[in-house]
Amino acid sequence: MSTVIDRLSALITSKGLTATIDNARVIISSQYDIHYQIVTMGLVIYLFRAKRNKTFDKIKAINRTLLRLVHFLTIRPAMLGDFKGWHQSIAGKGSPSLEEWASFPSAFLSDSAQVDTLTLLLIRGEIYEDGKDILLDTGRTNQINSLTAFAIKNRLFQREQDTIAELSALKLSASEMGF
Amino acid sequence: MKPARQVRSTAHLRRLLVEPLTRTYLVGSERWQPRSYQCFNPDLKTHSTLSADLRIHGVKQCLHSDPKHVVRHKIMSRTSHNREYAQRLGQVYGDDFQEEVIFLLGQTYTAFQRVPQKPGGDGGLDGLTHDYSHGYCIYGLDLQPSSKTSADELRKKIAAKFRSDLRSLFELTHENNVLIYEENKPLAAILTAGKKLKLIRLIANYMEDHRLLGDLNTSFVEYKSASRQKYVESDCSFTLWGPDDICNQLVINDTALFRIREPGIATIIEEVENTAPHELPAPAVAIDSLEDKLKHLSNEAEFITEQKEQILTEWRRHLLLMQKFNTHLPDLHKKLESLVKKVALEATMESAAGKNANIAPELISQMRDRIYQGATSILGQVMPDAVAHEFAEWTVAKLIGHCPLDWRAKKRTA
Repeated sequence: MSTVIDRLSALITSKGLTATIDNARVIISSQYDIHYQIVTMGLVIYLFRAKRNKTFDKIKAINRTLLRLVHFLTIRPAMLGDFKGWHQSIAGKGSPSLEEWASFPSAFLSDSAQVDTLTLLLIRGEIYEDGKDILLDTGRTNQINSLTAFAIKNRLFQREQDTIAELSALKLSASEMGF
Repeated sequence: MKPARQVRSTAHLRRLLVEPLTRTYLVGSERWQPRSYQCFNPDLKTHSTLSADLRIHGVKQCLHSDPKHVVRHKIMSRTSHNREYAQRLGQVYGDDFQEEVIFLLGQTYTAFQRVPQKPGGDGGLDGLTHDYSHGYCIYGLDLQPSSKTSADELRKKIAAKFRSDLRSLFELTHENNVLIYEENKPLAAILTAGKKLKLIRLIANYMEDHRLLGDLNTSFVEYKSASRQKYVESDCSFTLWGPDDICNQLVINDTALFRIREPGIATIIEEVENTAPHELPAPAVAIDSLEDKLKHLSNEAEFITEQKEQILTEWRRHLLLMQKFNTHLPDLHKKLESLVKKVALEATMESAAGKNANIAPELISQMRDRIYQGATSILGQVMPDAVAHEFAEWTVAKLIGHCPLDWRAKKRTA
């Protein structure tokens, strides 16, 4: 049984035409752009109730797993509704049941693009690890700080910023999530 | 057994495959045992059963290339695949087990009929075959280790469930430990026009205790003698199947193996395939150029509309599939996105290298085939051919709609 692609291919050949491919126009999802990954990671650290270190007030810290979860949802705002539904269903119960965990967006754990970005930032020395936390010194001049500050100042990635604000309002905590 | 016959080539094998096979074949040094094999003849629009065994790599492709016999099912040999399938199926329970068995029955019997629950229950039947003379009762009990899953407990549970199903089919119920008649209204709406069951297959995800056969046989004889036999023949019998029997009796093809190995991916693909065209996500870019491209191929308005609709639907299916992969399987999404970029880059480089020779008049189908090969290698051998083909088809439709693939620019030189 011939498919639509078979039929088109045969027609192109029979008409004496040549198909061409413009590689520059083959656009893969923007979430695999390293600058997009860095700036959204920075936005989460800056805007998601990141706790300040008491001694050094320019240092922001966030639980690594919580950062990954919030970042995963930030660049997939379509999942926010389901996540809020899940969060509401477990509110006040303490620990969620096994069935409730099934609707949790656990796919964030297999997002390797995010892990690669964190590794790159760690190797460059732009962020640090302290136990379960990721630390960012907002007073230093580096790529993550400059990109994030520029995005906030110019209201770029507004949808992502709105998503972070909504997630922030849920008052998620690492201990509540079991991270 | 007849002596083994030497197979000389894949073409020879193809000729042999259309014969009724009852013998052993030798392909190279490998012995090749015949097994049931279903083919579809597109000219006659009929299904036929051939005896074959596809242990030999490449046989499927060989049969695909024969226009007279399009392979409908690739049958797994009785090897590690079947054992793996039986093991995995034995761990599935509840509705999931029922769904898998129903899928296998549908693969094996073209006239298989599932019995829906609504309205008012299924009357004790989950499926029917053989012109409604064979009935199926399926039970996937929870096998999570506990005091309730000891061998004796499992035996009790399975016997109790199937006794209940049998009583429904025989229109009986217990009252003060006495069997009395109780009308089965759903069955009256299912087995109409005097249809009666000759064979009842009881299928469970656990069948390791032969005492179950005795338990059920005692009840079966008792029920049959007490029944008015409105929906069962007087010579009706029953069989009890477990996972091993399912693998021996039903078609376990690559799609079945894929479903049980990768239930997450299989569910996503099924959802995308079953989504109605009007519910698919719309592309975020303008589609005017798609119509313009089609005008270069034909002036017929009907042709343009039809092709445009088909390309658009496949493009939108690709969007939905990738959205779902991105949400549930981000790593797979990343690999598939990279694959498309890699294939496009390779094609660009090859086109550039052979610019003057015009080496790529079939670029579109070439790209589709390369994406198919890449998708197959990303998921190893677990992705069925049909799924990889579908993915490649949808991806190329997206590239046409999105404009990297074009044919408006130039005519081929002689």
